[in-house]
Amino acid sequence: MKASTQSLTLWGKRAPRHTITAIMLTEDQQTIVTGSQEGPICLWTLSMDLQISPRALLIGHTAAVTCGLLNLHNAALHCNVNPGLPIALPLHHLQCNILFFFCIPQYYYSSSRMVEEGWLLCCGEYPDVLVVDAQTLDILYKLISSDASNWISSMCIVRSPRIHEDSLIGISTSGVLKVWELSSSIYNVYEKGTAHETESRDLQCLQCQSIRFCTYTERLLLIVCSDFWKVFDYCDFSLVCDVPSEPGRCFAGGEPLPANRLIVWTEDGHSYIYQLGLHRGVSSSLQRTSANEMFSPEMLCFTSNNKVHQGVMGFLSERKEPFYKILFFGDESGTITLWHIPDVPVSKPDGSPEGMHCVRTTQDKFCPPHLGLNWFSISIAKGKKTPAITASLYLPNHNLLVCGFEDGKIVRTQALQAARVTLLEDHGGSEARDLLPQKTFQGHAGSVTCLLYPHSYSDSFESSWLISGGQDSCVIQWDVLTSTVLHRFTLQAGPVLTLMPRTFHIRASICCLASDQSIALLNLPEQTCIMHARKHLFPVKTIKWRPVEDFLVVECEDGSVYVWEAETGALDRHETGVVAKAILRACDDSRAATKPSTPAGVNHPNGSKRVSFSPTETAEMHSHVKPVLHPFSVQSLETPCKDIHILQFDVEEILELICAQPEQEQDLISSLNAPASIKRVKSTQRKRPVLKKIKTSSTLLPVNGPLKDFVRDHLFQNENNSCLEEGTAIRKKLKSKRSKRSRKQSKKRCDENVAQDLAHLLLSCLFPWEILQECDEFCLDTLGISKPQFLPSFALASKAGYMSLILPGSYPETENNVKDNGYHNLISHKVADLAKHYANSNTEEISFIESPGDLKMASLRKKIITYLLSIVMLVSSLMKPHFQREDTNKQDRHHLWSAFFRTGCMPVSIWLPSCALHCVVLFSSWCVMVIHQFGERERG
Amino acid sequence: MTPYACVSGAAAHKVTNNLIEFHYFGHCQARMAAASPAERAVLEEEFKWLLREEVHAVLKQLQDILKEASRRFAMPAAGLESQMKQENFILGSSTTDQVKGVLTLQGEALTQADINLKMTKSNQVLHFSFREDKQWKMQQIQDARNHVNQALQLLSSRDDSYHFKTGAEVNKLMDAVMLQLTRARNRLTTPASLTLPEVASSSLTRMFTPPLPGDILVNFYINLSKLCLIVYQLHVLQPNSNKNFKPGGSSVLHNPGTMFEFNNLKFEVSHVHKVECVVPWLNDTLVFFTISLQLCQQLKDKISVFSSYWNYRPY
Repeated sequence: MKASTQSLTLWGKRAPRHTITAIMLTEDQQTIVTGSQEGPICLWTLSMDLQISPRALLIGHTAAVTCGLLNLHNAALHCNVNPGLPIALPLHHLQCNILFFFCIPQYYYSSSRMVEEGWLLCCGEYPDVLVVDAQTLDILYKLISSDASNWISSMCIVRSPRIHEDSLIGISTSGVLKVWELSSSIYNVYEKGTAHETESRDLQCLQCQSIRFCTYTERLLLIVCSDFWKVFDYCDFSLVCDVPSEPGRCFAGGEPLPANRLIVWTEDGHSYIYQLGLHRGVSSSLQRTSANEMFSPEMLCFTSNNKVHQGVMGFLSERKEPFYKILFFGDESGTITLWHIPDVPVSKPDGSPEGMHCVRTTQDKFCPPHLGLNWFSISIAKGKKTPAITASLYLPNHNLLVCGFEDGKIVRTQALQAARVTLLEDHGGSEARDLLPQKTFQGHAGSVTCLLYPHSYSDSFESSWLISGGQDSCVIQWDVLTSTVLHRFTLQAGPVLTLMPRTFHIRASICCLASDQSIALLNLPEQTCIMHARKHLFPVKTIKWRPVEDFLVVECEDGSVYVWEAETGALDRHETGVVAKAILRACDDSRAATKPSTPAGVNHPNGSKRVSFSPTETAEMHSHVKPVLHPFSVQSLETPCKDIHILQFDVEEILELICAQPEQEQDLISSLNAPASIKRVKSTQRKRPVLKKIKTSSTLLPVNGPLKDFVRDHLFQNENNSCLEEGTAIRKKLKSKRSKRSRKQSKKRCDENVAQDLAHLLLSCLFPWEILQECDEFCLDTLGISKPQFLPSFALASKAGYMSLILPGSYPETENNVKDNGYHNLISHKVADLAKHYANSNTEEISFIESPGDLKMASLRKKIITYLLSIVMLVSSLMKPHFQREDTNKQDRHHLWSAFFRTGCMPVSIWLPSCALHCVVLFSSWCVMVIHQFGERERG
Repeated sequence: MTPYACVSGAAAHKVTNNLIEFHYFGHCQARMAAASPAERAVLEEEFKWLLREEVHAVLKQLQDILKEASRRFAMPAAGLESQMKQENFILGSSTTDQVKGVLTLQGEALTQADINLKMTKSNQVLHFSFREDKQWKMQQIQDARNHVNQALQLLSSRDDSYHFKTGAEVNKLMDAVMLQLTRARNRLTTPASLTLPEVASSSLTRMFTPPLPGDILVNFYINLSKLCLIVYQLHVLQPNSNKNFKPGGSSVLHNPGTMFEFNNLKFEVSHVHKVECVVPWLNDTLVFFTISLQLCQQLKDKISVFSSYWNYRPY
């Protein structure tokens, strides 16, 4: 992911599915984090009055998230996925680290005696407990048990002022309770790398779901198993009480409450509050006469979930005022339900609690329907829903967006124009939409399941070929320009799941995976089926090639490997276990030279390859965003409905294209470098406090590539640079020549007009509208950039290429706001003030461009646009080092983290992960200022 | 008189509705290639049957198979509940007779081991056995057993009284069960690959009496249904030797010539002996895993057949 890439999300009519598998609430009760079966993690804002609105979607996992842990101290969200790869998402740069072991519940533990910043205590499908560094996610130590060592099913940390020892209590799968002392064994652990348990006791608690220490009594231990819950005395592990579950209900968790109460909840979202029969307070429990005395708990009240769904539940009790006791539940349908538990639960006659608030929200809020976008003008019969997009593909060579629909149509449109029409105000309207060059391909009898443009993989495919696969088991080869069917392959193998090009082979062929797990090789030029491999019993996981022997190597979900001879279609061998692994590794080795290794290919501690890209995830599309090779690209989000698109603008490329101009305009560009303008910039630097914060031109060096000079030329220059100016002029000439040459050579021919359009579109979305009336007018009239129809939602890409999407549902009452009051954002006043201040103090400097009288409107426009783009680049590059710096201290990071969480509602700040707010201020005030200047100049 | 005149208003409305719907289906006939409304109704009915009857039948069958598998793992000795049955295995190999061993496996733990090693050069026979107070847990067996039990728990959470409402629900359960079963099987089929320093530092080396000499390493693992013992004979590389030192990576079985560094000494593997023995009940469990995985996949396939008729509705 290039630093200069800006991403913009266009949401569809349908919200992506979000089956909640993990849920948690941050300790400040402001954010709910949900993990999903599908992989993405969603952050929801919880307001003081307990309203929930979705804020952002973090896309990193490709498998289900099983647990999350938010760690405030180093601003990291540790999550966990089903195959057992915990991932830390440090929120300030949203980067994913991947670890290689099975790991289910995690605890964060930090102590002043520690060398590391904190430990993550992990247990899972391995014996005992692993200690993981909370920052690097390296396995540091092991807590082992000398007796009856087994997997630990749940654990908790005991920490109380009364007991001067932090300990970790775990319950193993065989029902044995283990205690490890943490604080006293730290030195021991550092020395030996391991620590043994201090207590091991068989409590017969099989299928343990949760274990909790009561911090109110500092004495009781609550153990929740699926069939019962029990309370033990922590001092001697004697049983205090035991309650079985109702038939057909499984307990899933519990939490002690003050005053000898406790709350227990079930898998399907019911919860019960019990009063332990210790009416005389804690002391009575301490003075029990006989160790065998049991207390019978009394159920105070319960909450029930009408719609029975599978889900996950959690509970967070109050920390301090005005925080609430909140019980939360997330279910399969993406619904979050919150209950506000009153301090003294009193039940109504029917057993339901009195004064318990319940708030519900669903994933439908992700993208409110009015924000959903239609790329296409499709006439729909009244009362029928718009057909959903089921496949989507962007062809950069032609700047075409091709989408397949559930009704079998394939529609092709000009991507950029369509985006402009959908996003911008003055381009909108149904007439403009109807005018879009749009073509419909009719051919499939079921929904279109996948699309492939093989030319982008290899030149051996014609550039006009488009391949589509459908639910009707047909693969159709189209001419994308004329929209005619070149050939129709009928596979008779169920819906086509994936299409893959077979690149390193003389014959241009593609590989189709159908839902009956068969793989067909289709020769496109000869329009024949080379082979059809139909033996796979289990879903196909990976498809690999051995080009030397011309073998097709197929790995199935059950770990077996089938080796096919591609030419004859004969099954060469079928292997399982270690041999299968060896074959796959051999394929990787032979391909290593041709293809970069997958970043997700990580090693299991046991050395077996755990993750490899599966063809069903269409290469990197799922979470990895491919490096942008073109100034503009469109990708669809990998969800069942593919109508959510991400537009990516490469500012660097756009700038280069705009600047690679014919010679006659050269002087206009260099006129920007005139001494007066330098003076102006210098003065800006001196006068504006914001700028001072952002260092001098030397810090600009992180701006990468050849554009560094360009941006510097534009924005920062030294006074004594008459020679430098010459230098830049020469460089510019060289550069324009070079880029012209490269333009001739490169196949990705992109018109300068396209670049201009791109710049307009990007700036329209980024521009801080309605801060200064005159600026807005200037933009509309002179620059040709126009207001977006609604707040555009940006996306952030991390270093590793993972995306996080800001959800449009997170803006409060979007529609009305835009129409009535404009964008009210936090910074608008500040920006307006700064800009006005600047304008006043600089009125005499306004004639800063000593340009000839025949300055044409067009060139002026271009100049401003390049100027603004360079600001965008500058700001984004300024931010990158900021949040990649390692030495930021805790305080700083905490600050950034909280800033990220509090400000998500502004159009501009959205593309700032760490929310270096001054950068936003810088950008917007700069925009305003520059445009103001140009406007004045215009009038003068 | 039109045919509609004799029906009541509401009914006429219904008829027209049907007509519209019929028209709709006719219009989309290409798309719903297989499903006419009548056919669709039959399919719905069949799908309901699948959810109501067939799924539970398969679940029952799966449970039976997995219970059988689980029973193999925890085979109690006849009469004694707490005592697990002890089994002796004589390890051997068709290619070498330099290593002989007798192992006693009790559930997941190796309780006794007697190893005879004939040194290649001196023809001297070394004898080692486990210390009385020690036993070695075969982690692979424990993991596989835990995975099977988890799969069983998942299955038992949906008993006959449970009513499956969607195919997606069944798929989700099947995915979870299959994940556990695949892991269980993988634990047995893919032994841990370790580096030689890891083998050397393992507590296994300290379990023998008389203690293992410094130039011998041993490792136990399960590969498919076989219990394997590997004995490495090492020789120390002289610090000034001009041999290129290149430490070996991790592997299940290291070949002679692999070098490694441990406790500041450099070693090279001179001989490797591998002896093994089939554990019959492990073979049974592997067969059970394979059968249950296939049953799960077949159930998923049945559901997916219907899903393709339901055109894009996720089951």
